[in-house]
Amino acid sequence: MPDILGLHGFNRQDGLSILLAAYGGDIITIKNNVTSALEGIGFGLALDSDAKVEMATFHNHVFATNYEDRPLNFDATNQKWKRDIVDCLPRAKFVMPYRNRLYFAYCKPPFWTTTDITYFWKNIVFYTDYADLSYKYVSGANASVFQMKPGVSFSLDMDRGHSLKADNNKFMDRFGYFISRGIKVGDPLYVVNGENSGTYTVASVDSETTITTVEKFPENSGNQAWWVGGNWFYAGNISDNDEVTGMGVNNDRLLIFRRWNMYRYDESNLIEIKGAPGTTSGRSVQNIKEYTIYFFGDNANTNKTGFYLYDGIKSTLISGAVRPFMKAISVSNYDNVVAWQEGDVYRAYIGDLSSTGNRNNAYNISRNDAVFSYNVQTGRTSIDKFSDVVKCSTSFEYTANGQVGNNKQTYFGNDSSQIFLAQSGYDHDNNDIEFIMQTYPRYPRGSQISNVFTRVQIIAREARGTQVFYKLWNQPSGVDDAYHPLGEIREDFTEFDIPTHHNTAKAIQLKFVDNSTKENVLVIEKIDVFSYADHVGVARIEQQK
Amino acid sequence: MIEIELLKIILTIQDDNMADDITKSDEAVLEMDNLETLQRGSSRFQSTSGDLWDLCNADTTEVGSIKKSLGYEKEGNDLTSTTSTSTTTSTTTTSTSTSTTTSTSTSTSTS
Repeated sequence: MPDILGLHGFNRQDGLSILLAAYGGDIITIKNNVTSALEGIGFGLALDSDAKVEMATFHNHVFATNYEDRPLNFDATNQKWKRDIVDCLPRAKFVMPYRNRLYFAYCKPPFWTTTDITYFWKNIVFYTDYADLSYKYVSGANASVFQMKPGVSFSLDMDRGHSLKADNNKFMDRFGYFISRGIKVGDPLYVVNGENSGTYTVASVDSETTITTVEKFPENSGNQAWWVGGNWFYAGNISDNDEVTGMGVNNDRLLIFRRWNMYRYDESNLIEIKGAPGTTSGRSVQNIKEYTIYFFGDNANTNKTGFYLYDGIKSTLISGAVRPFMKAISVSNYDNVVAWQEGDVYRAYIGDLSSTGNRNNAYNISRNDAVFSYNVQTGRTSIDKFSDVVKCSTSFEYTANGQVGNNKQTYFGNDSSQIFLAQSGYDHDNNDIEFIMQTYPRYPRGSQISNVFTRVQIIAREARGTQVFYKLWNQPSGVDDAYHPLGEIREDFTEFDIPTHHNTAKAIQLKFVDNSTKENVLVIEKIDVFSYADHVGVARIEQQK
Repeated sequence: MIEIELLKIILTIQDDNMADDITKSDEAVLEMDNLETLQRGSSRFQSTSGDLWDLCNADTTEVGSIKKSLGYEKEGNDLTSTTSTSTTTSTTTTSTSTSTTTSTSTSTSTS
């Protein structure tokens, strides 16, 4: 079944809330607190049916872009998708609001059919002029009109017969809209093919159809592709074959991620974050509190693969403690990591984990549909099992119409045409949630002395039914390949006797499992392991000496 | 009549645990009450006290203990291609300029 290609929670200032999902070449209303009859219904858009759709809320409107089709804006009042706020925006993979502008990255021209999209376009960031709230007389009444100028204009096609005329230093195209699109004196004008190919400078914007350039055109000829405007910049060095992979905002700075590095931008300066890798998956970028967390995958040096936390100054690897799990992420999933947040917890779908090259299964890692979780508040990590392939996520607040609430919830879309609400209920769409906790192998008397383990005491809350297992390490040299059952937790305090036929080793490891749809109230608080030194074993070692 | 007097049966099971019995008083407890950090990036001897070897589907909010995480609830029905019933579509790119030349602008329908 098809992927959910994008998900966006739209909460307008007046309380209108709509959850939108991109699916099968359309955008579909999932929840709508004004017109519930529209829920589950699409808008009939004929978008590319495979391209990821990124959406962003800006000045009470939703903007959507998928790189293959021209960006759209959503008129929630009339329930229509349009292209009327900003025309002539480039097609882009990423969109991000920052301050009073809208940014588009990894772009291609809006109309051209060329496939010659080189690294230049992969590393370009376009931005609109400042958004403007103006007033005009509409249908017999004054109305506020939200509009932005793109600051760029593109020819309609690469070589079709539109009315380009380059006569000395007069440049004309009846589809130029040079004034309304915000072309300014000093902007560069690029003629990209034909006899007049080259770069020119705008000397004056004479009309919607004519601009005067500083330089003269060598030939008086038309039918050439062109674009003009100054609202763009390169994201770093464009000659290194890297590309923009995502955007974010942190500490009042726009963040631009490429695969190998990242930048912060403040409307005038573009500064590379020293030593910070970029991201291989733009959908892994999430802000929690003052931090931006993201994923970076390095196939050549998997020690660098993992999750990084950007604090406004530097990026720090936060997954070092679980490096074996990070190294077990499939390289094919590096570009598909999708993150979301649950309260203070950053969670990211990392796909199947497989690292089974160890002779002893105790060291092997194998987990399907794994999720990396990092609690920003406590700094604690877990590697979770999931029941879905996560493709996109959003936060959304569903309120009664006209009300503004304070209960943002997280939703995600999967690869099977489904949308889920996070942190709801005690199952995963009727599937069990498998809770697993394993302690480290613990050596009560150090690694030299063997122990006879006698009993284990567990202090827990509401953990009835949780299964407990043990594994012995170095007995005297080997490690148990599999766990041995001890029993189920019954009460607040439960004691297990360790079977005498398998109780002597240097270390012990415990495992707790609850695979159920029960209410998530179980809490493990304390574990006591009793043992005494294996004097016979010690004496035997002494004899051997 | 023959009488057999069973006087004494001695059953001796001898193994290493005999010695263990002598040392029962040496029994000591190893406490694990600091269930904090999942640590697999170091050797098992470099880990701090209470490190966890593995943690899956856990709520790590409560300091010092481990709780099971919450679930996920499906929202509405599965989407299908027939879901995408056309309702409204928009028209075109139109310039906001007052120029008369903009009225016939680049008409590219979204449908």
